[in-house]
Amino acid sequence: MSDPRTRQAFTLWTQAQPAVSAFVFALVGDRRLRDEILQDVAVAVLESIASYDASRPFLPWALGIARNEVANARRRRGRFPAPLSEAAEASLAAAMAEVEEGELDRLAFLDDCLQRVGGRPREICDLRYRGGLALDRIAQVLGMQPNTVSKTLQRVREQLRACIEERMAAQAGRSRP
Amino acid sequence: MNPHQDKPLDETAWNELSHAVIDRVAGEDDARRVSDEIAANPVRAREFARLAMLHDAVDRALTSRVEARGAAQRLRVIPVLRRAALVAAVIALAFGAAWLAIGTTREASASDVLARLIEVARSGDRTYFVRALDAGSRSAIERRNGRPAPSIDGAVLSMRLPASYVLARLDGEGGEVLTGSDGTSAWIVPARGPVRVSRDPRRFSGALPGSKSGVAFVDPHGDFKELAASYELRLLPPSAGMPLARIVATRRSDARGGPRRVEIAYEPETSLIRVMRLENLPQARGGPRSVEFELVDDAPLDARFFSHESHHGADRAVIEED
Repeated sequence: MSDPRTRQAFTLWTQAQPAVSAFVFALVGDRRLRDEILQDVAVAVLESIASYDASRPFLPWALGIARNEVANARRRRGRFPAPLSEAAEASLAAAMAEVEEGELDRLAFLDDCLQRVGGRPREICDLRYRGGLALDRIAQVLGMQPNTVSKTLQRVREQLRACIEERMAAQAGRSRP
Repeated sequence: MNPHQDKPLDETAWNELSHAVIDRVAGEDDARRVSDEIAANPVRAREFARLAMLHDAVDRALTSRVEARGAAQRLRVIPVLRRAALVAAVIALAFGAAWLAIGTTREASASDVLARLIEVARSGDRTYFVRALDAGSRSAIERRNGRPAPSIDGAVLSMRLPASYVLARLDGEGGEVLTGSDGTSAWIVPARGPVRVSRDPRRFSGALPGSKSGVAFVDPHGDFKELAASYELRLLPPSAGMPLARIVATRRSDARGGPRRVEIAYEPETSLIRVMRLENLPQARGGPRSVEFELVDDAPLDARFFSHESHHGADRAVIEED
């Protein structure tokens, strides 16, 4: 760890990791697979850091590596759902690099906003994320229609977005002279 | 029948389909429509990117306790496969690391455990990765002379207790700023400009979170007794899926300064500290509110590693301050 280049790679990777994680998650749709691929991306980033041009932004470079690792995982594992075309993947990678910084600012409020989620929506979130259940299984457990479960999760996320925007606006109001 | 089929995607329909694609519940036609929109429309691509970040962040926030089990297990392979473990450590750190909620038990031997942790901590070199837990918020970004100050988030801290350390941070322009001490003098090696050296070993140590509060394992000049004197200590044993034990220190109501809560995760067999979290640090001098340190390496460092000469070229100007 005394090598400055390695330290720099660690730091840059840590900063880029939330966006890379979200990108991989959107492409593979599976938590475990996302984490396996992220480990491969991290190793590839460390191994190829010498080829990174420090005068250019790090995140697009890391997202390029992530796309390769997702493609490698597809080849190794055979087919897994690929909802986006290659052109859409490239467009999403570019978009991710553009929005990353602002979104990290917003997501700093996520924990607070999650605490506001209660009742049945919270129960569904817990089954989905902590329990790792598929939506149709959640519907079965709770005696609901799968579509209702899906819509409830969407509403929760929209509420979270609204809550985050509210917090951002409040903070901007406080910091205004 | 799909209500969105063959209709132009308004904002509501676009949001619904995007969520459904990320949740893997969209049909093939809907997934293709979303994919085509992302490929053709940069605005929609950015909207989808924001949604994807939200989905991933919610997943991380709600599963961090589950993830911690796997992360802790990965960390145990450091002696066998150091490089992979370093990577796992970074990932574990980013995922919220080893803060698994387990049943609490109060034991009389908390101070004995602390003494053992101290003894082991002093027995060799340790390198930690540092993360500011509120790094995403604007308030965590400090500025100096109008520029972002070197950030503690993502820093690497190497320590040889009781008094030697090197802290590596990046400044706002991506240059590396090193501060350190060999126990008898302190120094700073900025990305540009002269190296500064002081005979006061405490000089330049203000960048270390907790350094002003005598917190064990962070203040290289501090006293580990501070934790026992000013904090209520509580032991949390390992559980089935979580091999790390924890010691939680909560600041006594009559104690002043220091973080409100300190949590240390350690290997019960070896007393080796893996993760330490300082929460609600005093904000009078700025800096992050909460930080986390994760062990990434325990290999011995070179004997000269803690001297400034090891970190810059011989041609670099050196200013001795006193």
